[in-house]
Amino acid sequence: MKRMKLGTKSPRSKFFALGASALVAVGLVGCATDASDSTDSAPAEPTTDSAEVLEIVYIPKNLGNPYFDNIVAGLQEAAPELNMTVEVVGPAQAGATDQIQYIDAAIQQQVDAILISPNDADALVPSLKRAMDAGIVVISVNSDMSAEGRDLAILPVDFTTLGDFLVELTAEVTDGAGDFAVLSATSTAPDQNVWIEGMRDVLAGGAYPDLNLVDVVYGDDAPDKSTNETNALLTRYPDLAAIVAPTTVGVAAAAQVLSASPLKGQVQVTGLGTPNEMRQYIKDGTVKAVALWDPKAQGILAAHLAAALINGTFTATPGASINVPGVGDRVVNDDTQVITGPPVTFTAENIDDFDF
Amino acid sequence: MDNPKASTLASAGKFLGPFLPAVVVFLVAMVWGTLASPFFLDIPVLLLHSGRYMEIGLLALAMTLVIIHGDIDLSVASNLAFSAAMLGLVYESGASIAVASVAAIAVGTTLGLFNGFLVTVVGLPSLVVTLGTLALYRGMAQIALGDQAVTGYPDGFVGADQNLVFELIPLPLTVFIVMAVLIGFLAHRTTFGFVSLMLGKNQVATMFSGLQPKMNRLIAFALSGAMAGFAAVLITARLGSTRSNLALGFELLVVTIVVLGGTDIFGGKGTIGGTVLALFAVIAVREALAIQNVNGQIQDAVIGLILVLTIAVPVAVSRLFGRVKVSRRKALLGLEKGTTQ
Repeated sequence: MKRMKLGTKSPRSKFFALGASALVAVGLVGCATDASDSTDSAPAEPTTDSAEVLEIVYIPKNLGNPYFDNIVAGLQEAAPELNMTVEVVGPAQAGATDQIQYIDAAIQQQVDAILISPNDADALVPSLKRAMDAGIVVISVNSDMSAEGRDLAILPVDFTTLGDFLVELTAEVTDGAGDFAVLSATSTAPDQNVWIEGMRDVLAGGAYPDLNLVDVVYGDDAPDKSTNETNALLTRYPDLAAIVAPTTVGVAAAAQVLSASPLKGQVQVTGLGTPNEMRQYIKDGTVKAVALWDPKAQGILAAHLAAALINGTFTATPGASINVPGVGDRVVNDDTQVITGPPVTFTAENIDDFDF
Repeated sequence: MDNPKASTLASAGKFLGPFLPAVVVFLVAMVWGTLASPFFLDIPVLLLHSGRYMEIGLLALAMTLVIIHGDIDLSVASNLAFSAAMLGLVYESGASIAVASVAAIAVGTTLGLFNGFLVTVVGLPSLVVTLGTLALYRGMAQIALGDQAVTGYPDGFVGADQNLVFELIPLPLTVFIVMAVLIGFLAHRTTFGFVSLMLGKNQVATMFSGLQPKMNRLIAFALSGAMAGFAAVLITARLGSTRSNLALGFELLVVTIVVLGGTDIFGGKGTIGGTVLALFAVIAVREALAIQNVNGQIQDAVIGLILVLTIAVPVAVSRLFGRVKVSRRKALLGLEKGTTQ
């Protein structure tokens, strides 16, 4: 009110007048459609079409990443039998806060479940709490986050053993000796950071006395940045034995750099990569072995768990078990996580058996 | 002149001219979103969602002043990240959240002053200086926090962005409105603002006019830093956590909004009101796209297209009517020559 007075008192204060008129305009638009909106949404709520068709939204870390496309493929494969529609929306970059807009939009659309591969373990918690308060099932897919922000987490693999696994894989391709560097995703990616910590623990344990982790660099899951970081590593450490990239974007970029480099075969590339992206590098001898789990199985599991939680046939409490066709029996662990399965190592012998 | 109605209409048109693109974009997005989704037009929800954009909005207010001077501050997002990191560390050291917030604003202002010092006292180009501090401040945030997040902020502070003023306006929007009024007053109702515009139009002439243009530019940079500090407090309350990669890339969004609001990127022209309208236009477009599950890349592309169009269309229109203008100007020049001689 005071502001209005100010605006009318001084004829020169166009600024205030403009602000006031903009507010009035918004208000008018708001009133005009508020009425129709309430009549519109009134029947939409009680009819609950959603009791028949389950509406779920999947928010990957970012778009254009083939890894998450496979999770989507799994969700879509399982959707028809579960009578479920799957919308996939996501940000252009894997920034910590870029996913919040899509969480808010999903709440506004009153979906039944939000499946999310979180870019940050903490920053999304307030938004996801609001979703759960609105009765939406929230499942963290592919990596976990603060437990207060989700009902359940689906992990691709037992993360606690992945550090061991990656060191074992590195030892395999380097014959157990040499300096190696890690090319990771973003410096804040929660999953990669846990794995790298796990690798450090294994190395500190002394089981691999001749393997040295000399550096950790971050390619931000962007091909160009990952390529630059790979080149920088090769220049900085002339005696490097291996580059280990626990991210599919990073490992493909590193393999691509080395396949065209005179250091091909001398510097090994390994880590987590999809068979389709790594096939050519395994076949041309740049890469001996990479590993991954089946992200598609994760998508199938996620769809079934979401449906069971929405329908109330399953609760996200430790010890609860569920049989998922095509995946098997899975049990919720003490951290309310469900683990998809063990990793698969791809080599020249078996890579043609996989297509994702 | 004979018809007072026509002249008020003309002056209204002249006044609205620079704001027209933002207003049109805003209205089109609102109508389009409403038609596209029955869930879109929920005013309290939209207002609540606007809170997500208010950090960018605060930065854009001060950036408008900086750009009016003919300068630019690319370090705002990095400054925000470092200020937020300081907020987190001060709070972790045992201080109250109020003290930590004041510390963040003080740190932001100091970093802004440092930019201003290098630009005005040392005399370096602002583009180069703030390109440097963009990397420097982000790096400092990374050194301060490492890969760790600061969490565990008190409950009343986390989620403060959901509090409503007058049971309608969310707190971040309220902060933004207050700042917009204050900075708008500074820019358009004070000698400071007058000098700002002159400075942007012709720096040399302004320096010879006995005014203090250096002080003006320094204040604008300090204000830009202070807004980064305020934004750091808002974003921390909203996310309940702090990481060094906070607000990554915000500087481009901020500059986009300022330019969309009719501020000349070369300085000398611009209004806070235009920036405010442009911010709400961008919010409306983003929210209308998000409710339809439109992906991030496409949203960015739409905003980019709108920016190009708002700059290109007025130029195209003026080219179209260029001939008339040129002949008129010539006539005017001739008249002036005639009178002065």
